[in-house]
Amino acid sequence: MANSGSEKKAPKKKSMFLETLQRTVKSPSAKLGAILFCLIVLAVIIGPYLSPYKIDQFDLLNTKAKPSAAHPFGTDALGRDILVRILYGGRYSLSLGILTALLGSAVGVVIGSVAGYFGGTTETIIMRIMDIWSSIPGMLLCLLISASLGTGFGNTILALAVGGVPGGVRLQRAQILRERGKEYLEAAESINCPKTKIMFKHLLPNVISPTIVNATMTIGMTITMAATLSYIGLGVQPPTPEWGAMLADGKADILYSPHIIAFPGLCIALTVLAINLLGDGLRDALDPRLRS
Amino acid sequence: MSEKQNEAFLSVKDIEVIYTSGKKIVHAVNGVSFDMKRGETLGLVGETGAGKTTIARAILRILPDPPAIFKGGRIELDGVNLIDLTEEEMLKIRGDKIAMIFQDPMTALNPLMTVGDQILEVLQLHNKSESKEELIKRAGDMLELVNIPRERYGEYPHQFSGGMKQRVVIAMALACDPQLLLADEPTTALDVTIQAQVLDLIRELREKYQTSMILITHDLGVVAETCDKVAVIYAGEIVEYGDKRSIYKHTTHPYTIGLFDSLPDISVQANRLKPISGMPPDPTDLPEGCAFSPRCPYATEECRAAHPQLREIAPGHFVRCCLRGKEE
Amino acid sequence: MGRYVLRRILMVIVIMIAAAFVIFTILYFTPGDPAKNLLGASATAEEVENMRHVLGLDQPYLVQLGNFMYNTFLRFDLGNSWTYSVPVMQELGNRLPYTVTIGGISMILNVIIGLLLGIFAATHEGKWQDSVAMIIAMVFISVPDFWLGLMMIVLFAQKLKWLPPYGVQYWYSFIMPIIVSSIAGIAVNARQTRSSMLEVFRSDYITTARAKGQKEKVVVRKHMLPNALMPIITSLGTAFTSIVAGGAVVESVYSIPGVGLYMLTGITNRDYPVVRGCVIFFALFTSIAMLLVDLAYAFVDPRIKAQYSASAAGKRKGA
Repeated sequence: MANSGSEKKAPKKKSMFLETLQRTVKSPSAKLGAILFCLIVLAVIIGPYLSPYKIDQFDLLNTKAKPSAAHPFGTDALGRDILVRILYGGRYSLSLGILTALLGSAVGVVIGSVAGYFGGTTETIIMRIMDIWSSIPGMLLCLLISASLGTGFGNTILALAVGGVPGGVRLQRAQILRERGKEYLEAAESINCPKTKIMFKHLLPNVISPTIVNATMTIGMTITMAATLSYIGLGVQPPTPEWGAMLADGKADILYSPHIIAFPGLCIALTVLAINLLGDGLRDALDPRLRS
Repeated sequence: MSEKQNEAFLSVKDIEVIYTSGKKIVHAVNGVSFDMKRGETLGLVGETGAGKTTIARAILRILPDPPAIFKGGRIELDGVNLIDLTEEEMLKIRGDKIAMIFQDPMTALNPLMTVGDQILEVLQLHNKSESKEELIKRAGDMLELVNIPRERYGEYPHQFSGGMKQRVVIAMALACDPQLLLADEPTTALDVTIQAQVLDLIRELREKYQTSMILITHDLGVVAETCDKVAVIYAGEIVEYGDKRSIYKHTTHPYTIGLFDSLPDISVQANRLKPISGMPPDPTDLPEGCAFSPRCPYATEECRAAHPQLREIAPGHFVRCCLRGKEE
Repeated sequence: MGRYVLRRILMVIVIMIAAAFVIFTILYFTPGDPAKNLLGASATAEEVENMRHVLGLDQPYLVQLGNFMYNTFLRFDLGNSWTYSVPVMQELGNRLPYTVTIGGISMILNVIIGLLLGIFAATHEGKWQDSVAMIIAMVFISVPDFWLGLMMIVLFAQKLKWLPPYGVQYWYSFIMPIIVSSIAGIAVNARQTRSSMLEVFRSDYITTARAKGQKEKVVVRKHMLPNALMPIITSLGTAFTSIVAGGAVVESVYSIPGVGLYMLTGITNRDYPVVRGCVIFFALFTSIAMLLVDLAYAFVDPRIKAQYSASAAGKRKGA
């Protein structure tokens, strides 16, 4: 993209994404977050192949072993290597987080845009529904829905996404409202551009930044919430090595073998930290007021 | 020269201010000096970003820190160097001896305080011995002075129009009878009709109280009406300085000439205004020679090589240019 | 203003009714038969049918819904627990003090420590104090609270033996639960306070206040903080909600017999009256918090107050 040819042709196209990225990693904490996140993703993808152990390889003679050279994070109650389970489980936790954030944000953007752009009765009805929706705290709604849908990967994603919708809708609507009165939209309307086209082609690109930041932050929050759900027993179930499920698995041994829950929890904290740092940097980079 | 120093009420000497932004250094003010007599009005004229506001803030020592750094220079008010004062001593001067009127009345008032209380605040700070009731009455007097009914003391800024807000700001600035008023583009954010009212008000009150004033503006028309002396600022430097007459009648610096040429002149039916070509220089990377040379129609090699000094081409009329003034 | 408050209280009632409807419907359409679940796998079809009749589950959806709504909102009766046959209302009353104590103290800590930390960071912007405070805040936001709770048990109860690992026997039993349920909120609030302080930091009216000769400390307290308060209030509302909701997990980690734990057991046992009762309780708490947030806006900002009193049709501000 950065070659001389494209520079002449469309210098603006190149800047939008790359420039944001460059600005993001300018701050040291965002850079740390980005590196950490990349490392975690990489480890989670290729890590399980490099380990001498399999995820469900029992070793009943060597249960609850403390961390050692052979098992850097120790073994769990069934003698399974915790490190490889964490690496493998990261796939679940990360994809849970990312898919949920995508789903929740997509729904939020569509509903929020409709409410903000069309206004009037449509907006009133949507926003009242959102008021009711959010009167039940997200975590509770999530508990209830996963209780009613049943456990499992797909259901957990649904349950997690539901709680985030009202926030996403409000954010998107507020953005649209802020933008609605601007002249370029009137200009588009004055040339008889269809409403849906105005919404998606003209309006959306100008208001999407906060949603991107929000979605990034949601990934981190979702990973925590998913772990909480699994811990309570309503999310992904053991023996699937999702991080929260591993915690649920190990809580019986907490007093005498704390390493079984220490490491998965640490991984959650580290991953969420990386994502939050990245999201923070992204917010600063996308904030038009900070652009110079 | 010594005689001049004695009568100078405000004397600004070689002040230099930089802004740091990451690793970049913005040279906002580069060695500005001027003197003012009591009761005089000085107009600081220049484009946006030339460093006018920074000069005013430096005098009041309210530069945003970080990123601004006061590098050096002296600011003497009545013979006292403000730079040497402690913050504590400076607090007593701000709002009392020196007051400032801000550019945008919409944002210069605290939206969560009643206008009366905002005037009261400055009165309380500098009249510790008087009772609150007395000061509230005086705040009301100040409102009336700027033609706002006393009854509106308890109202909030959002209940006022732009022009009224600016009058509140003026009332606040004049509340403690300052000796020096710094007016930073006091009319830029207002409608044209309101601009005249506010300017008249400032002039009237200033004459009444014999206040010295530094008027920051980019409007040469306003300067002509209001000021005694003019300093034209370009890229953080004074490029032309003198009394109003010599600046308007004997405009010398190419930049000042450009400023006058870019004014619409109704008497000559011109189809287009003559803007100054080019952009102000990047303050992080000022040209080596004359800062105006990249945009100057007369620039020579000499201009690009050497930084010109301020020269007195006529008594009290200074110009910073390698070429101009010599030939006259 | 009075009319606005009335309108908002009315809305709380509407929201409560809607929330009750939503939770009832979710549970109604949840797959599986609670009667069968209650009796265990060995129960005969007849016994299950009998149980369904006793619980009123054999009636049509609308009748069940009607009964539930009538009992909840007109008789303030949330029914009896299916598993323990104790009135849910009574049980909620018994458990309320624990939940409210932990939630209330956490909220107070959140406001005090969060605000102070945020102001401290903002006034030291760019210096090391700011960086350290914000890094610590970020770490505490990222750590899952229940895991932090577990680790604290390992450290303070198991290794150091300073505090009891669970229960509500002593006053110091509450130390760990309160820390766990407040710490993330404190971090969020500190960050929010810092960023909204910084936003007003460069406002013109702050310069105006400085130009008056006002002391920096007073400028912060009198001019910056009130103007920075709006987003902070919003974030406090959210914090309250998440303390209430997160309470369930903290109560489960420390075996505290509060409302949250009650709900979790209700969910596990498919004890619908318990679940419904707890959700309605939490929804009421959230609605009241939102109401207080809205009223606080009007209290802090004369512009919003004017809006409210000017038009009775004033819309709620979206967060």
